[in-house]
Amino acid sequence: MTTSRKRPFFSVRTLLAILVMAVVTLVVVFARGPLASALWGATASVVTVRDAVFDGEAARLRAELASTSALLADRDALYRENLELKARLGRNVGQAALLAGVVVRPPETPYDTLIIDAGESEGVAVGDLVSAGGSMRIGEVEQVFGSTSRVILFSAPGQRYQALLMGDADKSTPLSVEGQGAGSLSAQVPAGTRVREGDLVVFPAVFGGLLARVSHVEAEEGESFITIYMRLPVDLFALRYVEVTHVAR
Amino acid sequence: MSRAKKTLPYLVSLALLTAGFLLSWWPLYAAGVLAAALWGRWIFALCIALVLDIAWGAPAGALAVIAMPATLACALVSLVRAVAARYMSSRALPERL
Repeated sequence: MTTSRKRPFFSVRTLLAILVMAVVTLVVVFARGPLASALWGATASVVTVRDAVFDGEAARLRAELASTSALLADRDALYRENLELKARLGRNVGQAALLAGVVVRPPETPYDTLIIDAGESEGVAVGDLVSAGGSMRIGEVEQVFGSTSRVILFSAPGQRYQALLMGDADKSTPLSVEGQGAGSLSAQVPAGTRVREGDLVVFPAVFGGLLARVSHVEAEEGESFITIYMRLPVDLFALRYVEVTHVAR
Repeated sequence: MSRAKKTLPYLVSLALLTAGFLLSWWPLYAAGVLAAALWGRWIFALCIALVLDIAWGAPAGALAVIAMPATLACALVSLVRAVAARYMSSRALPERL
């Protein structure tokens, strides 16, 4: 009569390997910051070279940039006038911005985050605001490494912010905006609020800046609220440079 | 098992990871990790998942509690694969009278 032996679920060697990997994982969890700093310090240049090699649409972008230079000049004039008005009101207009290159952007990162090539050595601090140009705020610095930083975009899923919906005749409606991912945000306003596609959504406060533009309005018959969907006013997938503005704490 | 069969999972996984790097598309990275995990190369898959979690950081919002989503997903897939493989192999054993 033969007796069958139940073989163990995991062999001793496998159990040992699981134990080692568990220890390694714990080490990574607690030393995540320094490891990320070392990783991005070593690979940021490789990613930049990859972008340069595969950047076939550089010529097209240069042509597009030339055609929009007139619009940009107009926008700059309005921005200067805005700063002059603020200066007359006695507000400090000396906000220095640091230009940083985007190393990694969506869809290479899954969480609506950017890795930029400015870090502790360039004076970047956690909480600094990041914009795609001028007053176009897109996110804030979440983690700072040696020579790189991780920026979390305002459209990251689960992120919530207070903002203002700019309507007609300078009427503004307060909003609680929530990130949906991939550059999209959503908010709800009471039914009857005048809102249409193209309306601007800005941050409150004097140096708030532009947050998003309304892309779709969903109003159901008989509902108490209207859902508005917004998009960051910049193409995240083609973002090359950002400006980091230090926020005094 | 022939040498080619032993190295095939690593080659497929590395090909997917390389494609993800060249095309800048994170689902290909995830596919590379999952392919290695499903093929039984769980240590290799776990190491790649750890590197991805270090590079990408923790997710924001409600998912922040997960902290290491790629590593967790890889571990779960590896465990499911191990359980499924044991179940299938036990069913294949011939019964003896």
